[in-house]
Amino acid sequence: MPDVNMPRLSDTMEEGTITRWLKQPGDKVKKGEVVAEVETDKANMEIESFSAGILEQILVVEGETAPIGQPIAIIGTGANVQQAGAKAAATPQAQQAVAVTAAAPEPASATSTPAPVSNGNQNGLIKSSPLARRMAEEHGIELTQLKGSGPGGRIVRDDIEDYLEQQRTMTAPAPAAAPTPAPVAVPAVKAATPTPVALAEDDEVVSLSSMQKTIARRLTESKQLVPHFYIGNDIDLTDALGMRQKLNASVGEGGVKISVNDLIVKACALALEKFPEVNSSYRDGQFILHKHINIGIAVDVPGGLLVPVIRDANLKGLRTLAREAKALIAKAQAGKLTPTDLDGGTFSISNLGMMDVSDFNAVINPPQSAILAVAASRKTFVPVDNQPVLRDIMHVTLSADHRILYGATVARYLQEVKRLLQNIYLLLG
Amino acid sequence: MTSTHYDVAVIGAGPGGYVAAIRAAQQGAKVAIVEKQYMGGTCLNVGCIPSKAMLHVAETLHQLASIEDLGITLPQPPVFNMKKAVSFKDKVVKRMTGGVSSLMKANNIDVFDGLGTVDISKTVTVTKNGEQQQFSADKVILATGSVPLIPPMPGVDGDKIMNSDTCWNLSKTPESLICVGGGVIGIELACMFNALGTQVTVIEMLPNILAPVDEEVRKLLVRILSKRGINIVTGTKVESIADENGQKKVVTSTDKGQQEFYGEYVLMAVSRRANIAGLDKLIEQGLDTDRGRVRVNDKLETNLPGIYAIGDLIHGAGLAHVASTEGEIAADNAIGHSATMNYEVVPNPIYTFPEIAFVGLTEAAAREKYSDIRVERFPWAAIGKAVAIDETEGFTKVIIGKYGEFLGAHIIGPDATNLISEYSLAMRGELTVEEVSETIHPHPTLSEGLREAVLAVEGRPLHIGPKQKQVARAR
Ligand SMILES: Cc1cc2nc3c(=O)[nH]c(=O)nc-3n(C[C@H](O)[C@H](O)[C@H](O)COP(=O)(O)OP(=O)(O)OC[C@H]3O[C@@H](n4cnc5c(N)ncnc54)[C@H](O)[C@@H]3O)c2cc1C
Repeated sequence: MPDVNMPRLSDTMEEGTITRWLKQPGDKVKKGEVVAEVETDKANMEIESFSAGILEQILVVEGETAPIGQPIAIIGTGANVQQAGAKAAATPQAQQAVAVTAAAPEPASATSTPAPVSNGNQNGLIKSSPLARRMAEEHGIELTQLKGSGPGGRIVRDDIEDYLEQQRTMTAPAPAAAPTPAPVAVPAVKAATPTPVALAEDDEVVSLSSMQKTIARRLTESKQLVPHFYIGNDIDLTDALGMRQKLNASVGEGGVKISVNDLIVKACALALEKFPEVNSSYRDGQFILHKHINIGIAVDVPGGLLVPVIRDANLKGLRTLAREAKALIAKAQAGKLTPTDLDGGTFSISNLGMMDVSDFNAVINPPQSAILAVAASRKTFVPVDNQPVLRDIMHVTLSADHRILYGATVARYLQEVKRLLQNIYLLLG
Repeated sequence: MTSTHYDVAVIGAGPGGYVAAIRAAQQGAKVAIVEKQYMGGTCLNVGCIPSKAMLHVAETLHQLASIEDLGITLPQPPVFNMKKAVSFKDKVVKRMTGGVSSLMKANNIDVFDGLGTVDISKTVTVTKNGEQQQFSADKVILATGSVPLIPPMPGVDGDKIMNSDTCWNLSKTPESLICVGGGVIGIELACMFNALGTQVTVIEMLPNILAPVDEEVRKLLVRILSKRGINIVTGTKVESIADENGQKKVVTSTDKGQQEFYGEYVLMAVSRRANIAGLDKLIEQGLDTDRGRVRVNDKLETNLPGIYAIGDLIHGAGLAHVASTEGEIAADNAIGHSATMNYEVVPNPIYTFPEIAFVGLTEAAAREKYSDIRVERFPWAAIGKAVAIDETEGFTKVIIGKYGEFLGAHIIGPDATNLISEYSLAMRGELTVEEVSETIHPHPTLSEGLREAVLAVEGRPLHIGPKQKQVARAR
């Protein structure tokens, strides 16, 4: 009987989490038809069936994770249709959940509240009361994050209220009591989940897409787990803009024009060569320095944000960079990025310059340790030889992970980016 | 064979105590239960069960008044024999208390007949006719219940003054009766005596009878009972009772001055107090009490180690099913589990006809607590089954929170006390309106009314038009 296995959808993918089954047991499946949505380490992907038939059994239920190659569903003639999760009970994870539930002494009385037990994820449904589910939906809480305290580990109203209370008390982080002199002032960060929003009758409630959910989760994690700090600088872009104009004037029709962003990508990449600490990740108490310099560029797409990656940006010429960036942006906007396009970034750039932004801070895209927020360049009088001169000044802010990066390093890195952009010929190497 | 040491000793065999004993025995504990008077306690002997048996008689008689409408002719008024009714009630009680005794036997629970006294070392002494027996226990569950509270006032110990312990064995229907107290017990008894043919006056000190009942429900009941001839006097305090011309004279006071009421009997139904007979030694040794009731935590532990208290003896609802649930929790804890009592979802039944039942918050309480609630009602007059059995008075009312959860539900009408369990289950299971409205309810049944009330919350009741709905609301 053909199985649907967890496919390898990207280089670094080890496992995937099923976010949604589009087919249910008993449904007809055509060859090549999408049966499920899966979230990998990098992106949300669709899983297509390699065979036709009837979906007989779902082996990995929504919210559960399976390593690549593991069967996640069975497609057959339809003779063995079983409801979701019927076989999932045999997986070690589920078995454990059952064991935990059974071991807990559970006074059978309706009003007794047994000690919290781990949430038995039986039958693929998170055990939860309808009220708890509604509240979770309204407050954007993932039930998988919670432990149920109700009968048999069921998630009940109290659990949601406790969780909300916890979130509420986790307000603005305490001022960093760093043993070393704090290099920068950290702007106050607002709590992710402030007081619940009361719905007015005419409010519209829109469910998040899978991409939006992933963004929401990742960025929440980032803001909650990664101690961000921010360093800004002003970069004089006058010469760079001048050179860019000359370069673009010479390409003629059909050639690829170089954007300001391409210059910034190149400058950031070259600066990372000099400051390898910034091209890094924090993982489980370790500082990981990446050899390749892969620059992610944030692209706004309908209903979200994607960060395709330009690989080895430090090694590529400006024209190549520009061509690649243009292609990636087009693919992103058309919804055609592949996991490879999104894989492996080591540093990101978010550019809102074209929207006339004077300055902003970006949220780090984990596991990367830094992201550069680029604002608009503006004609500004600056003193040159004590005379006011009109120059194009662009403000940038680097957000960095304070677990592994420190103020001075980041400040120097930013100085290097500035030096490269202000001495534009250095980018032509 | 009785023994000298038990894992668990239970004092009092009411619905709290006997359930605790069964629960502990079921889980392998060696259990003793001590009862001084009657197996089954207040509930089975002078409370829930006899009152429901007699209310059944009374309601039947009440229905016979309109039996002609159904095509049945009987002598009017039908002949009622109080003695026979009482012997029906006695049979019911005997059967139920006998059931408790056999349950004790079946669960190997040793029953000690006599007054139990306990001390801090958990030695239990049982006294009966001057003879004493003693045993020790690892854990003791106090379940001595409550007795009618007789407030001290002139003449209260006179002749023809009854209370809920003593009103069950009359040989004939009283001509007239003054019921002092308009709580649940007083109103049930007033409803009963009225239907049996007694001229009834209820005197309540508070501004309203049935204080914990939702206002809208209470108002309807007051209207129905008044129409039947029950004289309900509120905001009036009874000061004294005397005999005058072979009648009882009840003297009351209000803001406006004194008033006198006359009747053949007086029924004292003001309140109940914890029964601490047998607990004085423990109290002397430090058992913590609060306004006459034993104080416990949510595991039903008293301040004395290994000693639990449940039921009417502690502060709570004063309901048999709550006493029983507390019994289960205390027994679980006594044998080493860790269970806590949750009072959020306690159904309250009132056996007037029509019946009242409610669970959760009243509308007023819900409005105080939440800013965002929805309240809807659905009348029985629009439910086929209610029309078919000719019981169309009343309505179902639900109070729904912002997530669609049930904050409270109130039913007044036929079989309300059975129907309420659907809403209790919904509350306890944290169901929302959707689960109830999406559940198919059988037709024709009264349960359809429960669903219709919920549909009304969703703005789509089926068996009522928009205009009618407004009428139902305006009530
Ligand atoms: C008229 C009436 C109608 C009622 N109707 C309802 C109803 O419809 N629904 C409802 O839920 N509730 C009703 N109740 C309330 C219900 O009866 C009580 O809540 C319930 O009985 C309390 O149970 P319990 O086990 O705590 O105490 P009890 O039932 O009072 O039992 C206590 C027992 O302990 C015994 N005892 C006391 N001290 C000692 C001692 N020292 N040694 C040995 N034995 C001792 C007593 O003799 C008694 O048998 C009604 C009550 C009354 C009076």
